Amino acid sequence: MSAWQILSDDGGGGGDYRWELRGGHTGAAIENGPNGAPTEQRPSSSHLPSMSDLLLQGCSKLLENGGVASQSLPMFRTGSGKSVALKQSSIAKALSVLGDEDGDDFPDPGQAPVRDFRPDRSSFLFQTGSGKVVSVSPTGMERAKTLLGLEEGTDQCDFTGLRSARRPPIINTTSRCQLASHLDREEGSAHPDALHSVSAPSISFTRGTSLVETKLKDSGNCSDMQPKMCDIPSKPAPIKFQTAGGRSISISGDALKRARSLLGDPELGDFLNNEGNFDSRPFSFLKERETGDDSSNKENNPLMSSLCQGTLKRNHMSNGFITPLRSSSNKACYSNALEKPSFGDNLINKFDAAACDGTDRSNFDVACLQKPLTTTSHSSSPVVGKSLSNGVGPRVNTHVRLSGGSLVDISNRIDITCSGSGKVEMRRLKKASFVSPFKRPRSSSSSSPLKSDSLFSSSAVLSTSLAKQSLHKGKVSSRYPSQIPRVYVSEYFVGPPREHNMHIPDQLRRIKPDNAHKFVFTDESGLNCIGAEAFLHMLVQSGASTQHISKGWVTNHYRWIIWKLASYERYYPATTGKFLTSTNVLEELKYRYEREINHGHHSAIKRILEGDASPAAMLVLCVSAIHANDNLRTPSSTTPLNGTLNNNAMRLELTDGWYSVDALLDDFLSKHLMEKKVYIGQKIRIWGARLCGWAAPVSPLEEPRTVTLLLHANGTYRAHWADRLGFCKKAGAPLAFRCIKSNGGPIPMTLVGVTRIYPILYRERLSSGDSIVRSERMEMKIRQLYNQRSSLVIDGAVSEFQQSTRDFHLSNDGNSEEGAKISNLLEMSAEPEVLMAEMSPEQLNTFAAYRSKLEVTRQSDMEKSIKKALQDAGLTEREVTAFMRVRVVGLKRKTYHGKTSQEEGFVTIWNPTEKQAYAISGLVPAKSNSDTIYLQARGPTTKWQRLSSQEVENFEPFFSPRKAISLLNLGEIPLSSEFDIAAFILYVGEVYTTAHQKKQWIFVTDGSKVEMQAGKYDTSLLAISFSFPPIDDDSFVPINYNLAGSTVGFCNLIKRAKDQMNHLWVAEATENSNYFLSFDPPSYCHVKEAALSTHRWAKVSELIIDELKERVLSIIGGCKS
Amino acid sequence: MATETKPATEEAKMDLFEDDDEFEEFEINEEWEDKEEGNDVTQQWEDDWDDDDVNDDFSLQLRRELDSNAEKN
Repeated sequence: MSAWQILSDDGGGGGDYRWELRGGHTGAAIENGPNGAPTEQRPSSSHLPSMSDLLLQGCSKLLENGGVASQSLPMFRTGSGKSVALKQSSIAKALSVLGDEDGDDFPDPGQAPVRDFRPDRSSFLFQTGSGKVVSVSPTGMERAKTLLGLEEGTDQCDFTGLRSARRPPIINTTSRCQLASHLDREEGSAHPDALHSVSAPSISFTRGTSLVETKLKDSGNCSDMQPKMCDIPSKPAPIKFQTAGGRSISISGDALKRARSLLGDPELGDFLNNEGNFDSRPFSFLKERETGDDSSNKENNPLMSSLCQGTLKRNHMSNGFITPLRSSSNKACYSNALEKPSFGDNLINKFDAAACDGTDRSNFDVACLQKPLTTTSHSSSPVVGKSLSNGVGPRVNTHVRLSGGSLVDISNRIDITCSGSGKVEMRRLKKASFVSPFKRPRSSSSSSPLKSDSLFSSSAVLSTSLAKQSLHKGKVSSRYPSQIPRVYVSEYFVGPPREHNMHIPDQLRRIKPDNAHKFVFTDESGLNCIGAEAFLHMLVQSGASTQHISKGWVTNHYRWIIWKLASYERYYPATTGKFLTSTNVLEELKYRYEREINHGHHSAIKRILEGDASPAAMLVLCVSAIHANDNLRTPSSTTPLNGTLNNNAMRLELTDGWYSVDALLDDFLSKHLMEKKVYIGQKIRIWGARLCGWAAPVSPLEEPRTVTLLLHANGTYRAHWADRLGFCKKAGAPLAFRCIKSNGGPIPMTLVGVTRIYPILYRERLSSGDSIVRSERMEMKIRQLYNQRSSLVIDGAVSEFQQSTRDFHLSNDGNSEEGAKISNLLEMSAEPEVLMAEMSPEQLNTFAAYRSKLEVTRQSDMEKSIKKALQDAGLTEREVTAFMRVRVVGLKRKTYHGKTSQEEGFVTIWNPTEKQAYAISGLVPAKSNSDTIYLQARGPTTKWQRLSSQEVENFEPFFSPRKAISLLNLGEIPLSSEFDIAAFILYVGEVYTTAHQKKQWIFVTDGSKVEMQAGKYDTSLLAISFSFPPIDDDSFVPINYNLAGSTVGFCNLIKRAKDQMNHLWVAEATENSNYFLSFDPPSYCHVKEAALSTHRWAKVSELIIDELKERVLSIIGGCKS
Repeated sequence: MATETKPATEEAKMDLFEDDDEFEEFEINEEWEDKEEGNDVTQQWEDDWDDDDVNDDFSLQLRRELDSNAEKN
């Protein structure tokens, strides 16, 4: 039996201590009590004991001689090196808690604190290392006692693991710490049941310094505990908090209490009341891979089931902390329980030694050791080290008390297999990994007062390596950052991947993304297979921590690595047989571990799914699977507008080489998929994608997948075979305007030249739901009309109101009545001034208040009646939105020689200036016809970035400036094109109504002559038709009759087919057309010269004008007749 | 699926070249406003899904893939 003691290195209490194993003296020094309880001699040298030591000392002393404490105040040192004086009162309290005056029934030092307390006391107090007073309620103590089977007179213990342990406290030393590593067995004999049913160790840590107990409890008899635990009813409501990632995590009250207990919160009583509640979970956040990956438990993989649990309870109860850790099926092994053991190395060494020692004498279950050793016979393997230090030690039911030094990093990771009655539920949680915020500060940064001594050889090496590895994330791969300059894959292989004629092994050919994870390497004998699971072990041997990776993690990365290496071998014959090797796979896995775990670099898909990056950013992904569902085999022939997805959307799996995500294609892309333009292995560049089904951060390894990436044609492009996967560092090239699909979804960015800006327009939404678009001029008139009508209605309403309220009175309250009386009096009075002068101030006040109230009421009533009158007249408030259209043209690089199509479009937007080129992002296509696309710029989501003149030089000129067209050369303008002209109005026709709109024709000329018949020239005529919605007022005419005889400028007229019979040019004025009488504004000055010229001609051409008018009238007359 | 373990090559594959999945770690700037970052907006994405004769090896690759698929079938 091993025992521990703390010894001062310098012998003078200088603060350095070391732990000494007191092995080999078990017979004499420890097992000399009547019942086999270990006792130790106190060395004569004085040193600073730990808190636990002191408590024990106090306890021991009192037990021994009736409670005479040390003469001087004892001190101990915390993990951070701070000296803390322990008060006499604390010792007294400790005594009160721990004291066992009659010395009866004291099992062992590990059990001592909870062993024998006074039930008749109201509460028990003791002080923690941080100085907090912890009170223990008597009921808690009682329950603890009951649970532990320590009732007086009860020799029969419920727990086989706690059985025996009847040792009188023959402890005659006070200032020596005891690290009793003993086996719980009755009368010193190993209890086979107890030892074999061991499944879970409980490790209790004090917060600051004092007590670290590593205990092994037997959960094999877990069902015996259940009834007692279920008696505890109170279960507080779960508490929620938010992680940095924005996720809500709920913690059960029990979990919180345990957390508090870890942190030293003095709610011990509560805790004890609730302890052992099997239904509760200590923490409701579990690593997803642990909860989701049952196989890790099923396969009894010690690497996967590592855990660490801590508490500061002095008198920790077995069920209090063991419960969540238990695995009654004897499967769980805790090879990695002490993830970051920050206590001194020598301590670990000695643990190991103690463990080995214990191993010799007890039949402990070595499953946890054997398992990792099946794949590695390294004696220096950290896995083994962990197993030894953490798995084996507790497993021999060693009660190890440690002191000094900072505490180990306490993990809240829990692997649970349900115990006997199956009360512990596995709760799935989304977050893949959650590091408890309160365990961080206890990392190994604080120095341990324990110094290393190299007493032990092999196990010392193990534990040291464990400690070193645990102190910091060990470097697993030296290949990141890369030490050697390397060329990029495209430079290495020069050409794109090609299917070659060489023989490709079938095995290689069969490796696909969907089966790559099943691939196994076999040795020459064909007997040993190495698959993903073996690589997990190899990875762990290389220093990877199972706390950070799971079998699922390795399998996932193994899949992508195998596919990649196999693809190289398949498409580059020179590499066949060289790349797809276990060495390369391991190196790649190590590289990935190094980057993701040690450097915290997350791939694009991981970042997107975990909410750390926007899915709209540009990234390159590779198609790794095509999910061809039955209902998706035939994409619909009809495509919905706006790039929306329908039921026929095809589903893909995309990978960034590290993880994968499902993606849904829009109709365009689905069509391309059916045409085999999208295929497995193809890289695509996506930009502006959205996530569907994403509400909170989700692990890329989570199954089933609920999050889908929505892809649309305008934001999905084919990428080069060697494009780097993941996010693009540089901005992507804007989508060429001609490639925009009208129903292909939002356009991340495109380049356009603005060729025309059309006049501002106003769209009024009518109460019927329809809308009407008006020119600025019409809008002004409508607005004027509306205002006029409104004024009339308001005037009528007001006068009506005034008439109806001539005898308007307020009533109700007394004040108003009084005020009304005074008001009446004044009105009746012949000399109201005299009356007012005689009134008291109160009367005046009442009168004033009445008047003002009357006024307010009148005003309010009047507003109401006005509103009603307006409503009755159909003059509700107008809902008018101004907008502007621009005509844009796709910019064409001077070097581009490809086909051109659909290069022109209209963008509904505001503010651009003509003649400028823009990069526009965020446009949404609205509709398109054969050669024009209509796009919508939606407020702030659309950004216009003006190209510099330097940039514009790269493109072919697109801009044709506006110029005045004369009728002489109107023939050069193609049909349906726009033109601007300055012309003299000969005749303004009457407005007439057609089926859908009102129309008006005007006839103009600019004095230019055309050849009509052989050798005969005549003045050109142009007929322009205006149309406008029939809803507006009849009195409105687009062109005022008074304009006849004026020279007017017209912009954006559309040329229509010539009336050959009447030798008449025809044009149409649209919404975008405009006319003006002033030519000075910059936007109209291009027709100024033409206007002046026409004006001059008109002045001197009265006769011709008269003739032309007659001709127009005859044309009209001819039409009418 | 299994294959025989192949003898390790003289040089690890990872030392030979940089893979396309070795992503760079950088802050994603969606604004792309900084033209110093090589933001050349004069380049346009001309590849139309409807085009099969675009200027690089897409169609080549596609045809190859289609052919190989046809062979398998």
